[in-house]
Amino acid sequence: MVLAAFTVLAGYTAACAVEPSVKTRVEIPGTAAFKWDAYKEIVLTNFWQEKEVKDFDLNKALIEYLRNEIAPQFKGKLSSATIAWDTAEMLNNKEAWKQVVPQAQDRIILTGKAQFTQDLRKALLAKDRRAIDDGPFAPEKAWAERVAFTFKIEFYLINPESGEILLRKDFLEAQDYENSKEPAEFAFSDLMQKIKLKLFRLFFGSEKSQERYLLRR
Amino acid sequence: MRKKFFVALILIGLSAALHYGCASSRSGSEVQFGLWASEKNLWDEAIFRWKKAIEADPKSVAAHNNLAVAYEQKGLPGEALKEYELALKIDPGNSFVKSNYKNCQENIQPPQKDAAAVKNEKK
Repeated sequence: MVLAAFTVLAGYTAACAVEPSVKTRVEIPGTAAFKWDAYKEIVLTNFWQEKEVKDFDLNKALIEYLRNEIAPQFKGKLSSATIAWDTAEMLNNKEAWKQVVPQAQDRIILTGKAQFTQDLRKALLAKDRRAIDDGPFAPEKAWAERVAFTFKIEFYLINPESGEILLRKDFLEAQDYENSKEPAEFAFSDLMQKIKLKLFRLFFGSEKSQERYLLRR
Repeated sequence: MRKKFFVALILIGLSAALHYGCASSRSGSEVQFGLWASEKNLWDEAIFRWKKAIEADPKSVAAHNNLAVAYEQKGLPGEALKEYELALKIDPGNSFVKSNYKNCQENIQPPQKDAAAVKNEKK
């Protein structure tokens, strides 16, 4: 009888002794830093590039990427314009921007500066020789090559009516690849994906996933 | 015989107390139902259940906290904050609620904007 009492008691104690909380992930809708409803058209321009990238058309890839990614988020029209950049200082030249879009009303220019660089790095790495480490051979060392891509980009939203900069945001992303012949296109895509997450959170208030505790009792 | 009777009585008493304290209250079962619904991503159902749990027991910290989480998920941070505050009023030391409340508050703070962006908002 006493044994039965303890069994029941133990059973209930075990049933009640579960974790008091359970972790869950919630998708929190973000707040956009910009009111896009005020505009009917985004004019995408080529970005200022300090140095051209060998065998890779950065502006073409960038405009194509932005066009494809912005289209589902923006209700209005997307168009392109080509700017004859003299210097990066043109970004602050209001008069120049007033002339980019002939009918400027309800339109906004998305432009900026972009710098995409590629470096080959060498490092002396020890090869895994554990199998023969006990023997007379010293661990073998060899030169390893890595390619590092860096993408620095500044986005500007400009009002073509006044030439005024409405929003400016810069990003810097870098990534190393073991494959020293990694194509620039692939690296661009990887880095742009990281930038997009941050940029769109600011521009469109994209959702962010966060952890919360739900209580059991 | 008398000894057996007392043991049986203790056993029944313990069972009843544990059963009541553990999960059989109406509020408790609604909280559990809400948890199940949230696991299935049925947040509207979870909100309905946790509201019912609050009706049954307005001092249920779990119901207020969980309802706040559901409100955050639905994009209603103002309502979520109110529910977190009610939960903290009942149990000010609850670390889980405090953590949720802090994160919710951080989301509500407006993002860093350039002066120009503020101008754009006024447009």
